[in-house]
Amino acid sequence: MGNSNNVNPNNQFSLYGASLGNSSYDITGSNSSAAEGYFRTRIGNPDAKWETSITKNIGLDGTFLNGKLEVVLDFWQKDTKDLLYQLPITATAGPFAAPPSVNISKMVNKGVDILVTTRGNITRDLKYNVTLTGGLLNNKIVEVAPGINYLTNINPGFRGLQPIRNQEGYSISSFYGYEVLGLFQTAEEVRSAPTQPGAAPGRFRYADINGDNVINASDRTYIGSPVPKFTAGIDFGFQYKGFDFSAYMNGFFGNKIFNASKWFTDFYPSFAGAAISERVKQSWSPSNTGATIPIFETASNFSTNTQSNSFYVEDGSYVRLQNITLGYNLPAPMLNKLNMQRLRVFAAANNLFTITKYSGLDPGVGGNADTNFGIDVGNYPVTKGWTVGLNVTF
Amino acid sequence: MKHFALKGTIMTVLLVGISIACKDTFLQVAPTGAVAREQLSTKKGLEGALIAAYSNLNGRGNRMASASNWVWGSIRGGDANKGTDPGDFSDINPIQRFENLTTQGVINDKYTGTYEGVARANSVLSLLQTAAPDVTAADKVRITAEARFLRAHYYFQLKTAFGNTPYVDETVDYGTGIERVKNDVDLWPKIEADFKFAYDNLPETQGAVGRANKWAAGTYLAKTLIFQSKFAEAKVLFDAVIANGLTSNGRKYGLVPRYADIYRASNDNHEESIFAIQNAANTGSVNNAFPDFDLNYPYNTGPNGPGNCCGFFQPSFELGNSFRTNASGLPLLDGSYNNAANAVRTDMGLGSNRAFTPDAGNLDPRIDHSIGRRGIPYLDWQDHPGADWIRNQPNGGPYSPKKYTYYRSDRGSLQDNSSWTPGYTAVNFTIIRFADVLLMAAECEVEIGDLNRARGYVNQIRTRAANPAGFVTKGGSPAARYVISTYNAPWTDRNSARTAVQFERKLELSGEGFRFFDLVRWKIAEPVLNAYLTYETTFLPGALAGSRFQLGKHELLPLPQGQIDLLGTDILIQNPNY
Repeated sequence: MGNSNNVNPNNQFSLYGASLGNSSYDITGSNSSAAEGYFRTRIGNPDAKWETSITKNIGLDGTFLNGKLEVVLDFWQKDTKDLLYQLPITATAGPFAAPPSVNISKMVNKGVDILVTTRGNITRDLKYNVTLTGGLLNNKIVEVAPGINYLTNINPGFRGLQPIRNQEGYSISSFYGYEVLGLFQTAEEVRSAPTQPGAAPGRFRYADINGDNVINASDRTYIGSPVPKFTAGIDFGFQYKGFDFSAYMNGFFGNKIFNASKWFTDFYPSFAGAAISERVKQSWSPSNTGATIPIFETASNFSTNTQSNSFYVEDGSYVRLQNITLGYNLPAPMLNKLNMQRLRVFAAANNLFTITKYSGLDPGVGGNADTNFGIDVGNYPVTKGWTVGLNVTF
Repeated sequence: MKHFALKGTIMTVLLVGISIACKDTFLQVAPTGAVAREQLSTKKGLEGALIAAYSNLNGRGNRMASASNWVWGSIRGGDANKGTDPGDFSDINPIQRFENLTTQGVINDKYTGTYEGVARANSVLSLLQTAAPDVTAADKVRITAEARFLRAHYYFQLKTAFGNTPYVDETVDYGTGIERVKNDVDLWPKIEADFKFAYDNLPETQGAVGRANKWAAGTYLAKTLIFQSKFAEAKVLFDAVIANGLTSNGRKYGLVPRYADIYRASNDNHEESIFAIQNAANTGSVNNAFPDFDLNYPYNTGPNGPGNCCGFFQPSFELGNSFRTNASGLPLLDGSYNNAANAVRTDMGLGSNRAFTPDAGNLDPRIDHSIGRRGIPYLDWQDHPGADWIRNQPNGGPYSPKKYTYYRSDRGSLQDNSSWTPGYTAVNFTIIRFADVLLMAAECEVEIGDLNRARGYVNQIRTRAANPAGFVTKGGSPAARYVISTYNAPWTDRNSARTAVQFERKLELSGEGFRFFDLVRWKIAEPVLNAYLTYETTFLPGALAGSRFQLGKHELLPLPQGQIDLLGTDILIQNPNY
């Protein structure tokens, strides 16, 4: 959203097309060939126009203490309107025809950015420099379209779970599903709770959001957002005589991750006989009622592993030491003997450690698009790396 | 000075000329690789649009939208279980258990995938209104009739699955009010009108066998009538079709001599095929090669069996037992086939390395064409080894699907290896076949005609099934004790005649997507399906325990919640009790 990359260049035309996969048919009964057919591929909108965004910013740039301290502070807000959105059309018009993108939605992003740099000498030979960056971000979809309060054409599925809903009043790519209050402990609790299909002791108990005493599709709700509230980075370095040292850390705070890999590892019936997490040894049983992992069983239904719910949503905040480098520049007298201008040896490490509470493989989960990210399907984690090197200038 | 004036004038003229020489339309670039509406008004364009309408019959990769109805008709009807692992394609689990939710993806897929067919048929009819001069009047009539036949077929699928859904035709589209069409109109008269037009205007034979002909339309019209219990009108049509019907390639309607040959790709478009989905292998896209059945094969067969994946659509215990025959070769119409004494012996709970002798009692030979069971040769591959070919026996039972799979001799030529699984074939799926017609005609005779004429139709079916040349053989002799005979004593009681005809439909047409819809139109879905669920749960408690068919609710699927949210509850009224 917020740019026209996702809008098809043919948006203004109503088109038909031929496709071997979508519209051909072996009308002659040859069993080995298929005749070409033409089907409507796109309904056009000749009135589509550019999106508009208005950015407001008030900031402060300052240098203090004789250049030792620099501060850049910005308060900003970006309102985007006339966002091009493919308004869904009724299935009766033929779902293979791409609906036109229409200028209709509104989104707002606002935040505060701060950058503080300080540098100086601790002693005559020891210099330091530190740069801190930080940003607060709030993203919200203000309006989708009259009568529609969420982006209906973005509903990716992950083995039957559909965790994303881009809804009015929430950030893009927000997670959506049932709120898990806990696990049913006894059969009486099941009986006295609102009617929930598949309910049994040890299975999820969902919250009755609309209070009608029945758990169904109307009880789904917002369960988290993958957009970090606060991002920060710190870059610092020291120089002492020929040595130089630098390190860079960054952190993301306040974002949630939808850990879809738990569908595979914490539930038996998902793929019976496949690899399972050690966590299931602490799953619920009548003698282990304080568990958070539901009862380990073969049933696959509404109260077990078929619905998107808050069990999969985890805090994705993390801090990662991205890079740390130590180098040494050989002193000039030695270099002159070797006829070199500069010789530096260094050792560096990448991604040395990550501090996080997240239980999946790597909290740095990306995604396909801005409207659909933050879902961990067991992405291969980022690896540590060590480098040693030599820079030589003759 | 002179030069300046001259240069200045020339420059001015050039600049003015350039600024007015090009129009805005110079910046308009037409899209490439696509076709605009206007180009489709020629004969080639219209025929192509019609091909696209046929093309949607198999769902185009959307397994739930195909007319094969393996989930909607056969799993719900008790012919088969989902099979595989519980968590695999788990969206089918609530369907099998009658716990349908309005938000389910498979229900939405059936709805939207079928409406794509409606939209394509409507496209053809709307394009015909601006047809180019190279389209003759005769062409126009034929193309209209074929498009209306297809539209009626797609609406028939929607009506039987969902009840009343919005009726859109070629006069309404995006921008002219399609989103305001309500679902308050009965679809049956519209479906009848389209089939009637097709019946009156289609030729008796067609150049291409995949096209619908007059007799396919007549048959489908009669089927539409019998679904509304209009037996008298249906009987007239059935009599005409049985007497005069021809396939699109000119063969008189008849029964294929050997039952298994109905489901052989090398025998496609046989005399029993009234209207079929034409599938083709190695065309460049597996969407042409029976994509809706790609999961319905035995599991882990390796090079010794078809498919290798994925273990879906496992025939049910109840269906297996239904094939038991008594000493006279007749089925057990009193329902006693599920008793312990009569139930077919299975290898449930036995590994393939443990010894097992197949059932030795009297069986209808169609069992081994409909169900893959241990110890019996599986087509031309090998004897079915039992649990080794079953993905998850506790979840799906011991049986494998057998109709519409492929032969070892089909590999490579009539089977398409170009995708993730070998389970793509060229075998046609018969939406209507002649045996179905004889049985529907028998139903009409039972209700308002001659009981013994009905018996005659049923006996034609049973005679074909009893053809010894059609038995599955092992080492030269029949693979099991096949004992089947015709109904020789005259039928005198309407109720028992009705039961016999209905049971014959179950035996003949199992696994072909009919059972659930038949039970609903006979108004016996609730007792039959609850009895089925109770029985089958004793073997498959994990998959089925607690499931129940609710009268007045589960006869219809709910309209997809997404469509109701989109159009509003004033436009789409949800089905009762959802």
